[in-house]
Amino acid sequence: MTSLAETLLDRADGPSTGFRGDSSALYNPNLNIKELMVPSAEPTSPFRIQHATLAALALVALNAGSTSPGTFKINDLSETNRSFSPDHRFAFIPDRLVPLLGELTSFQSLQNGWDGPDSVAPSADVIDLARKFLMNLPGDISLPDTTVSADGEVGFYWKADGVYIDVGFPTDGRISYYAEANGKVARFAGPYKGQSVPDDLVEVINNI
Amino acid sequence: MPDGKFCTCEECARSKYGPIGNEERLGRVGINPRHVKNGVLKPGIFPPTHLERKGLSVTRVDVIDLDELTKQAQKQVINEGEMVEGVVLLETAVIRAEIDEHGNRCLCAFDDPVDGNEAHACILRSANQDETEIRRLRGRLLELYPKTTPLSEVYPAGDGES
Repeated sequence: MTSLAETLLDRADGPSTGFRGDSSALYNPNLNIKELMVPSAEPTSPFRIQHATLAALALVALNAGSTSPGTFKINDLSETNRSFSPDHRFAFIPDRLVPLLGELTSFQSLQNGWDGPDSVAPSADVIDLARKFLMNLPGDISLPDTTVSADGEVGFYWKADGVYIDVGFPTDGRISYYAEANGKVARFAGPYKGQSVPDDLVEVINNI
Repeated sequence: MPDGKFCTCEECARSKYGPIGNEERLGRVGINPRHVKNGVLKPGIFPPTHLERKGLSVTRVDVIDLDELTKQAQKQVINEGEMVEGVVLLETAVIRAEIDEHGNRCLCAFDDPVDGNEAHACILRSANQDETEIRRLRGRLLELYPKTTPLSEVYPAGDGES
């Protein structure tokens, strides 16, 4: 069976780096999103549209409300998603991540000096890296809270009795974490491109 | 008290108040919602690079009074919609007693006056702890001090200065 993502990609008439610009002029209420849908036997998982056209994405996004609950969710035009650079937008955002992504988005409005005279606002690249990390968390894992520091670092944390997990993105391309949950510990600081969540970290989070 | 060889800076007097005594409390101002969520501190109140390099700014609450503490706290309300939640009251003796797996001290607390705040002090790593250890330490601080104390409760009633 063909997934929605594959269908969209098949219909793309040329390579693109993602959704760009205001799509409102492309909205056509007579178009039916279901025309683009082919039922998939597999549950839909988060995916990133890399080669879809503007028209296809706008069509899907603006007609998302007409789809059956649980089939899929496209909210590429959400304020949260639009706040990210075009190359980093996701066509699919699990509902449970939306509040956290919204908090990350709010960090973009911070200016230097936001937390005292020498404080630094987080860069867009650092926020994007944090967003990638979040989107790559396994679907059944417990979710963190967000935090931002005066040194421009964006991060996530899990805190409970016997649990302290602190993941930070101090600069673009770097991750640093200390994770402790009920006896299990993981720690690392080094390069990170947001491609996946480190296995040892997932193991500790799963031990919460 | 563990060996203090890592924190010789603690013995220096730079302000009129002199070196910080172990019995002193060090206040870190918490701003809502910047540093607080549902009444509990977020890790961001302790920026990693401040513990690692810059020094975590605190105020020696026991050498000033409520008026001065309030003035210092209000200076940190910067953005619309923010308010002073209170101060994290870090106990100097506890900070200095924090040790790592080798039994060495982790954090120094020293006198560090700045323009406009003679009671300013800093908390800084004691040696070359790496980024992950700094994260462990801020987790430890959050465990020891999960909440702020309202300014009105920092000093005993009728006793603005000790």
